[in-house]
Amino acid sequence: MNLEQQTVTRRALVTGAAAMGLAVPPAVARAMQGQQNPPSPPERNLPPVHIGFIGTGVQGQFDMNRLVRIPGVKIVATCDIYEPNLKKGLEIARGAQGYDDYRRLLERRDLHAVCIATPLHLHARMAIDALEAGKHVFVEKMMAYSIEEARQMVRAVRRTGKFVQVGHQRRYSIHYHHALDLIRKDSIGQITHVRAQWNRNGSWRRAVPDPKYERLINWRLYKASSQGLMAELGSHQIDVCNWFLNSLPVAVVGIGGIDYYKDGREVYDNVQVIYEYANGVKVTYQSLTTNAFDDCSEQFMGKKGTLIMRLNGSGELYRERSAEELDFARFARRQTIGGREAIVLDAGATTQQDKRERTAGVPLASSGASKDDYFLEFEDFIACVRENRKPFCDVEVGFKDTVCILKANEAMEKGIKVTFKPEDFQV
Amino acid sequence: MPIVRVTRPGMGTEFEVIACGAVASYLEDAAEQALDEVERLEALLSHYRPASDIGDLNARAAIEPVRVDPRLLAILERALAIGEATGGAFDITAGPLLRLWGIYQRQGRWPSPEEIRETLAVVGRHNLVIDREAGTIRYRRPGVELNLGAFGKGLAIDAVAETLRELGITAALIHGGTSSVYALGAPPGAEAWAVGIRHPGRPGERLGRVRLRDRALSTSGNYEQSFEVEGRRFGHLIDPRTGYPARGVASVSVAGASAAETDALSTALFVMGVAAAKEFGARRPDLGLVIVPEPADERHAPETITLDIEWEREATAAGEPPAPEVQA
Repeated sequence: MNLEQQTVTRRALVTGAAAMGLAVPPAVARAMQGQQNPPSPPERNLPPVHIGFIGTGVQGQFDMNRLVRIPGVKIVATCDIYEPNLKKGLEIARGAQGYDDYRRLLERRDLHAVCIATPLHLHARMAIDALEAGKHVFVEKMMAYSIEEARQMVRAVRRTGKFVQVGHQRRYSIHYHHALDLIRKDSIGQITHVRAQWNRNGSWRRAVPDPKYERLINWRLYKASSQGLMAELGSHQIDVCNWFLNSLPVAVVGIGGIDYYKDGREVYDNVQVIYEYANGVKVTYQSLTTNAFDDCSEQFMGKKGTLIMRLNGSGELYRERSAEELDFARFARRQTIGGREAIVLDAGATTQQDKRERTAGVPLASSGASKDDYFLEFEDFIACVRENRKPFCDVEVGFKDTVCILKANEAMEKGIKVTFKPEDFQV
Repeated sequence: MPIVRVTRPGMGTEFEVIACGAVASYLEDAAEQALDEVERLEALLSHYRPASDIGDLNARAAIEPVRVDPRLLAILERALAIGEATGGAFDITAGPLLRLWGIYQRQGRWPSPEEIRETLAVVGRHNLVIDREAGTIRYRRPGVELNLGAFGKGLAIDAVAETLRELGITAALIHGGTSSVYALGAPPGAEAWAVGIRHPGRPGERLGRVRLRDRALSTSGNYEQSFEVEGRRFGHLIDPRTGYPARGVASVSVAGASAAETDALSTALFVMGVAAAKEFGARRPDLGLVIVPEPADERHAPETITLDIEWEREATAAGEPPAPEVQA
């Protein structure tokens, strides 16, 4: 295949995907096409975007680090009820007004959008209040604490004409888009199973200097504020399954328990879940807190091969012995892992190495991309605010993911197989 | 009283917290949480990671002004101030020189004077355009890059110590790959933490020890990494002012209030040489110094120069001539 054909193929992917309603977010598409590092338009030519940030704890600070690096963005207000976090947030949002009541923050008329990185049980109320106040919303995952609240968020979006983007940053990863491209090009054949896990070795408990802050700081451990490991970790990966399989589950079973950290926590410290998707595709999911082996990954297992995506954006493709060689494979970097030869995934190189050799331009080595998933996620969010465009990971995506996760929790709690009815995913 | 040790890989080394307190599980949770600061700062400062704030800056700042996190700007200004105070002996733009001498690659080479002259053109504070108003940084020419080096490790150690303090921990020792350490409070029943300084010429041996309480100590020495090219030996510390490897010092240890500062200063004083380091130390009574001039190898018992520091020299081995000790 020559250079022109390759280029056409890649463009066709983007527009073709868009035509199917599965667009690549523009910020990600630019990065994938190697146009990540040309000069941005001068800041003075960009309409400023004023952000109010609610919840400036660890995750909030992480998100704000990306926001403040995007041209034209100004975080003008922040809010946290825990004073040390409010203080740390204001070190990033220099010159912003700090609030301890988000409703006061929402009264500001100069905000174009609000970001929410608070404990799960507060997401829906804050997001709906923000939408009603005429602000676009970015809300961290999982979108809502309950299915009913998630539904109310969808309704609020429809009612107000403002949008919600949910913080599933893998949807903005050049690596995941590249992997999906490979899957669509039949590089692993028909997917029949997915194995995914997020295993860590640690109590998940944060040290609390004053017991009166226990439920505030360790909100993840208590049922009134948390939906546990499935919501905090699994929701990212089940969203990837929904996305890559282009499907939704039909049933789920699972077992969880509080079996190791018997420290007063109310959510499981280990979960094992099996989802069934259409055509009998199974997704097995595990999250441990007592052993970090295998860390975080999703393995898509098809008739012709297995594609593994890992936490840091790296990944590999293993072909089944019976499968024919792929046309790009001879250019790809290979590595033997566990006695099996893997094609090492690189969004800038795996399928484009021949093109790279023949062009004089500087190709994007995606493994060396300087804007990560989180950066692109917020870059696209800001572009959506400016263009009043529906986000790629919008409220509907977040709603469906919430349903998937909370039904798994129900299956574990009741010890039953829960089946999904079509109306479960309708608002 | 329980003592816990918790380690975390990061910044190309391993960080460790040794903490004492009443409840072991609380100490562990606190140490783990404090060590998260290493990861947070690595994500901000690593020049190896393309997607860190520094990596992003290095990728784009020669093309356009890049907006930076105000916390990073504050860190860079602090590093630049140390650079100024040391007459350029500490320089966060010196990365290209380290690459030229093969130090990044851990494969030493001896560059030509021409190459050194060319590389020096992209080194130095004047190559950075900092717009405080807009919060942006731009590089004046391609090839400029920022590398905080050991300063980043020091910042991480300080941040770990600060978090432990916020969490009510009163006795802990924090180090990152043993070149820098921070002593928080003192162990139970003691006045201070005793911390050893390595013998620069004899692997595994201790030159002496210092007592630290709420203080940091950093050591720079050629023993950490050195190269031999065509019979010429040189260490991993390159003088950013001349472009050539620093000479004359075997190791420098600096004690002070912050590990970030002692880390940067131990590098700078090593590069400055014995006389200038002594002069610098004399102007800064808040710092303690242990300077070991060259030669300090297998054969020579090293001379030590100490300033403003409580220091116990290790007993010399039998049959060895007593080492001269200069109290400056």
